[in-house]
Amino acid sequence: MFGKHIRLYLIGAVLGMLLLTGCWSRREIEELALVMAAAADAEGDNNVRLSVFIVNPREIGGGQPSGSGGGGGTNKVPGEIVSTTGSDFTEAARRIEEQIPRRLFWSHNRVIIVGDKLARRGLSWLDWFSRDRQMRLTTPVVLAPGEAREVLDLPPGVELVPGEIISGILNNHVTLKVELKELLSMWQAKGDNPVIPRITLVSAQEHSGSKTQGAGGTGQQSQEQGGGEGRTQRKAGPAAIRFEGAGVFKEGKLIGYLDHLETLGTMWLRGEVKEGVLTFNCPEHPSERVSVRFHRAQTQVTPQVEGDKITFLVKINSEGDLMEQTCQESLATPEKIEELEKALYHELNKRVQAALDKAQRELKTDIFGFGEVLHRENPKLWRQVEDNWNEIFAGAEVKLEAQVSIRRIGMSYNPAGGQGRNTGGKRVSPGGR
Amino acid sequence: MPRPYRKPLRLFQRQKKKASHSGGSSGGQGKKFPYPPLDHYTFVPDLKANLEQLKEIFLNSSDVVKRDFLIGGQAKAAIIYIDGLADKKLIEDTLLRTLQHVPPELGRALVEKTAPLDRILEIIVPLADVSPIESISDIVNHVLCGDAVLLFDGYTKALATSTRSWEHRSIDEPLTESAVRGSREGFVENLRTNTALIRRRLKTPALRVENLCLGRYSQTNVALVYLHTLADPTLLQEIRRRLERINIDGILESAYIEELIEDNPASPFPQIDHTERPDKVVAALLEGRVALLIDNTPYALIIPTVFIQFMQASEDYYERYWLASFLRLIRFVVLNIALLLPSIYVAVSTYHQEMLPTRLLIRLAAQREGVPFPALVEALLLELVFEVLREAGVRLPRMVGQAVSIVGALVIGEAAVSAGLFSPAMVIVVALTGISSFALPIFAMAITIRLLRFIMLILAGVLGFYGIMIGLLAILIHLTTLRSFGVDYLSPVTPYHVRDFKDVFIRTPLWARHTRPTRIGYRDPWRQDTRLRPTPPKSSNQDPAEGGD
Repeated sequence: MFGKHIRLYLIGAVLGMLLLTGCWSRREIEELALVMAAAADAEGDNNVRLSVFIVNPREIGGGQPSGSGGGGGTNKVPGEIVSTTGSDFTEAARRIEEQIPRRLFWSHNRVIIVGDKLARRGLSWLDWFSRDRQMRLTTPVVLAPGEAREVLDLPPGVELVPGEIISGILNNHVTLKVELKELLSMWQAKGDNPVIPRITLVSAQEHSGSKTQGAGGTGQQSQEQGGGEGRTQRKAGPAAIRFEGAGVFKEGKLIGYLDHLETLGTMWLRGEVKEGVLTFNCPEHPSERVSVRFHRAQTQVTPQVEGDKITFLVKINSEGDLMEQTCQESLATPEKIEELEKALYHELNKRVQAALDKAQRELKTDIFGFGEVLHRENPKLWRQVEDNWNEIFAGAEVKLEAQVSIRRIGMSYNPAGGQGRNTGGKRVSPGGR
Repeated sequence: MPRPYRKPLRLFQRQKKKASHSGGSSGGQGKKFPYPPLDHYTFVPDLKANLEQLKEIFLNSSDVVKRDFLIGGQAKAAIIYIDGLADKKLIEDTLLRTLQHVPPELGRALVEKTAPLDRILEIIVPLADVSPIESISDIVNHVLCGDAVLLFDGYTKALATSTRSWEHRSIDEPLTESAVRGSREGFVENLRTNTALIRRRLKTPALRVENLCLGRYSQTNVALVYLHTLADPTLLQEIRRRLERINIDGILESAYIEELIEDNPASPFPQIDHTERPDKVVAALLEGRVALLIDNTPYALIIPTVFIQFMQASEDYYERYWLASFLRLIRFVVLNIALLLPSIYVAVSTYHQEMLPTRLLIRLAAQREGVPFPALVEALLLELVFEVLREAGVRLPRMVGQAVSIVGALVIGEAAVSAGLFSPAMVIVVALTGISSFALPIFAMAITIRLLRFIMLILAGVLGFYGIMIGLLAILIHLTTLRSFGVDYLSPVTPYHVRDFKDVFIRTPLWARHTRPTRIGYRDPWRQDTRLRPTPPKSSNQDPAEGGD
């Protein structure tokens, strides 16, 4: 029966076997509940609360031309917040799927928000977020001072989804950004301790007031619109978020917060500054301000060991452009710019010292990864100190050597509104500056 | 370097019994011309009897013309030809008139047999292309081919005069392979015109045209064309062997021969290229390949053919090499799109959503909301619709075809999407795939890819990327085992011939392409001088334009 076409039969049988699997683990796109932000909170003494923001693709993805004509009058709800409790996150996630008609899909999660209470309980609770196959280690982790769930109530603005809002701000390079994998490695390394940025909720009034008049007006408007039509929680919810400060972890538990200045200093010491703005007082007119924006910054830490004493030499090299100055100085001469650079150094030093003081005196925690630097440079010594590194760190001396230079002063070297105060109108072209 | 012809590897060796059987039968056929055999007729020295025999053979067909006349008013003779195939004007005005008016002495000599027939004919026949024949079956053959045959009373010898001339299409632009730059001549249905088109481009005695006659009833002329100095003799022998095997009632198109002589009859891939362009055939001949021209079809077969030839267009060699190389690379992209795009879309959207950028995913999800079919079914349906549209457009007259494509585009593109039956993204994917398959230069490969696309689609729908990889591997394995007349289908990529890479992914400039393909043109590897790169003389201080003044 087979003899003649045995090859054909064999090939047919093999190909046929492929079909037997029958679309195993197939999930159609539209059957997925796309999680765009997740909030992890502690609930009660032992339980956890998992809240997810699930996008509604129909509303934010444009969708079908059928049915709703323009979508102008329809109620735009970018997504849905679902919150459940469980004894751990797997159970909580399971319970979420009991409440929504689609399967949770985590690969596109934009941010993990950890509530203060859970953070104090310990980072080990984040195990599920790093173990599950759908999770991405590149997801940024942020800290919420109160309940993380509240952050999900952010109303839509330029971005419609809270996950996009938070990850968008993080990508602006204005604040510390810690991805899950970085958090894990900071946590695991003995010579390092996790610092993760903290989100502050901002009320509607504060949010629009902190902006220019025009933008504030439209912000207010959209806020009212959202409040009128959107979900009921939104009225009570925050209007916006702001990143301010950071949470410090020791031995996997949240032990304290850094304020804004200390966070900036920490970023410099960790070498996290890619770009940023330093604003400081004019060297000669303390009430006036100068702002310099950095676009190239490099931090190099070298441990120096003399006997028992460990000193860390921090070299910061950076270049910046002058953005704004209100001191009416003419910057036509290199001396003036050197003065500015000196003031810039002081400002930088102030930030770094603030961070150092907090870490060494108050928290007694190495949040700068200096231990890892020592580990790399002097592994022999490291093995002796690694077990009580945080105490040793608190006693270590840190020297700052900063090379800050202003490369460009913008389109005018004389201030607007006439001549500079000191140069007497000597107009020298800044040339190659 | 020369490698003997190698049989393609087979998973299971065919039974020996079968092979010997086919060999035996082909040996028995030999020359089976004409069909049915006329061996029982004998040529007798009596004109009347011979004409009776021929009348019986041709069964009184209305297009067979027979005319008795006297040579020089003395010798009885007859002429027989087929109306429409033979040039009536030539026969009447030249042949008959001259023969009738030869001096009577010559006619008498013919009757009295005072001089040999050949000698007399040399004197009296006014045509150049004549051949003496001595059997009834040869007479029939010549008549059927459009020759006029002269029969003489009292002789067992006839004379075929080449008067072939019939209505045929004039040389036209090749429709399926038009080029912006390059010759606008395409092959026609007439074999002789086609060989002339090649001969005009290769004025060398090394160009050999071998004739064969295939098809029991059709008696189709097939010309084996090659450059004697370049073509591999073992290859020629193999081609002849495969052609002689053919015992079929009729050959209507080059595809018949292609299908009967290819190496792997089960493969979906074309193993013999065909073309309408004489310049392409000549280029192939110059590489050491062999061409098969078949009467009554404007397509020539090129043997052997490797995969890469389906990525090459004759225009590549007429455009600047930068552009040609770019287009070549584009074609590889297009090949992948045509084969894989719907599969990738289905696989990503049903199995690997994590691979899509978030915004794209949300957009696709939004489009798919409310679409009643799973992505696989949606893709299969749309591909099917596309194939139906294409098929309808190809078969219909040009005017109606346009209407079909407009209706199709409107119905599928607009209505189906707004009715929510299909998602717009899927329509884009299928349309892009369809267009891509048309962007491949050789239609034979394009349809193969189209066919494989469905298999890939099902694999992708069942197993995701895993299935796509299985499919691609299966295709790759198949391609590496495939051979065209002993030449590996994937050469020069595998087996690797670095010298031949000059014409694979990019088209190197003409002055850098010194050698012929390693496996095919090995008998004379160097095709040109190695210092052909044009280098203008170092300019002297004088401008040549001014100097000429």
